[in-house]
Amino acid sequence: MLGLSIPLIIIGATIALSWPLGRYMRWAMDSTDPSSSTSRFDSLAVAVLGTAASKGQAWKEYCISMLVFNVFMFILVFSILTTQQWLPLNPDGKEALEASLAFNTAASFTSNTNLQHYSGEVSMSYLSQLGALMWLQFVSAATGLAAVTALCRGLSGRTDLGNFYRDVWRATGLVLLPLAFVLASLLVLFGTPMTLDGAAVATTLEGATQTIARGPVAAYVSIKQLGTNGGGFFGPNSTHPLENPNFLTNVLTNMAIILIPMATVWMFGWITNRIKHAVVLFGVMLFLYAVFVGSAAMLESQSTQAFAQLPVEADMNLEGKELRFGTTAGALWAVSTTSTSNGSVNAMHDSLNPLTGLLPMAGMWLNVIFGGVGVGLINMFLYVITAVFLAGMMVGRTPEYLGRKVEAREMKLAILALLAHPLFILGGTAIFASSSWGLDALNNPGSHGLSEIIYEFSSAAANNGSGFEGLGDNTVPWNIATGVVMLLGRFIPIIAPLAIVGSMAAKRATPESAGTFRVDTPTFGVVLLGTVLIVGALLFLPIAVLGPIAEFLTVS
Amino acid sequence: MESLLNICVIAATVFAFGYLGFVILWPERF
Repeated sequence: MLGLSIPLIIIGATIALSWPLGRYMRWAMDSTDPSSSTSRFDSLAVAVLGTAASKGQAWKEYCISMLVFNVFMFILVFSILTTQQWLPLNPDGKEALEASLAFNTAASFTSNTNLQHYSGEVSMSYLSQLGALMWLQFVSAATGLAAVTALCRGLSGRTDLGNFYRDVWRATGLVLLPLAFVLASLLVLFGTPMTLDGAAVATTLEGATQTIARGPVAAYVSIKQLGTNGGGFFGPNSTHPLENPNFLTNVLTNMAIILIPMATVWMFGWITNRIKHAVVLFGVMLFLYAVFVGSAAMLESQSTQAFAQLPVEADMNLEGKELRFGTTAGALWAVSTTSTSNGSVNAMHDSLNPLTGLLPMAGMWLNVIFGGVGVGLINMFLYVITAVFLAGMMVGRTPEYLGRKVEAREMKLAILALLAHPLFILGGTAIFASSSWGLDALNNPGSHGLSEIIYEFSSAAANNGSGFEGLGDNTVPWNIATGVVMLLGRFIPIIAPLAIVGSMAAKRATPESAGTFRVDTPTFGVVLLGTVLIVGALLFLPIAVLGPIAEFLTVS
Repeated sequence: MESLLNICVIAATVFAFGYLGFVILWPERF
């Protein structure tokens, strides 16, 4: 018995919630009725930002606005992190971050990655946690949601993709803030701390004095999960008893990880008026997700080889697990957090059985199993375009997608964006695995050590943020390299798809006919699944063999 | 040493965001 009843309830309940949320997000993000309350909400943005938040933008203007906004946020957060010792809300007297660590952290949170080469309770003041990092957790997720809304508008034939600032305003104020408020309230109710007082000092039963870090944890955790950010308030992330105190908080936060990515698929269907197509995309994502969760639960139900020579009886892998969450909670979370670009952890990924460890990596390599807020669907769009093109070539017709022709320019951009991902992961791994930058940071020899390096670059390029740990990654080369990879890995797969839809929307609409390749059928679902697995996964097969698969064969 | 580190950080920032600007302006050449 794999104990799959709780995962099934969590996944089922999240799917049920995602449908009404998708309808709501369609209203919040793309309401075109000038008398609706979203328009009144927009007028607040115009009052603050002026005409910059009101005029429509073509894809290039939209992307430039996105980049300008994110550069500004990056500089702001970098400045806060390097001057926090002089700033307020620092009751425990935290010092400034070293420059490369501040660069890595600002890049990490700007790119929605939340890769943490620091420990929050040790290094960050409350102002840095709330005013810099939590702020970015909202606006980076809002950037993803804005980008996917622009993509949907383009795919519905509009050359005016909307206004980036208005979309971020709507995503933050109408989607993320209300959801985060509800979740944070529930988390407080179930025992997650929420205070601005400094660390608590307690006397233990043995009479020793203990300092217990705490803070505004509930607020931080809610947007950390909903925004697929993943950066923990505490270093141990959601394994920490104050960040994820019990079974109920674990269930709620696990649902929060996949809720918005699921709802985004429905929002895409409503905006483009292609709900059947959205059902096919959702089906492909759910199939991959279910296979990954089932496989992880099965593989973790076998005991770890680390206990093989010890007088310990264990009929499953209990190393690195928090049993207060249930036996399969670690496996479900490991898949959820890496299928989406969340990256929070409730178990030690370094302790997963070798083949289970492959699954989180594969989730990050594909990066389309619901994916990060907004960007998961954008990544899937690149595979959809590729699948449509391949199918079109096979039947000898000019490929069309949603009434627009897919030609050389669109394919060139799609393939370049798809290839950027393995380039960052494999290129980075190759450099660090063959130099002292990587080898000196390793805590494990052989294939497991290689897996640690692969995982770190996969996590950075997929904007995930989780770590295999065991890697001493707070060094200047790691901080700079992963910082650059996170920024490029974040924005190239947003810019290229928006360029594609901008190009497609400018073309004359092609009426659908009997010969049009339909994208709302199970056949297309199978073609898409094949494309994702062949184009996305096959590129990583050699590195998978050298890392986790070699380790599996060695310890077996 | 510290000024060399600062130069590295500034160079990485300029490269990353500069390159993204290049991708927006000339998407087919990235």
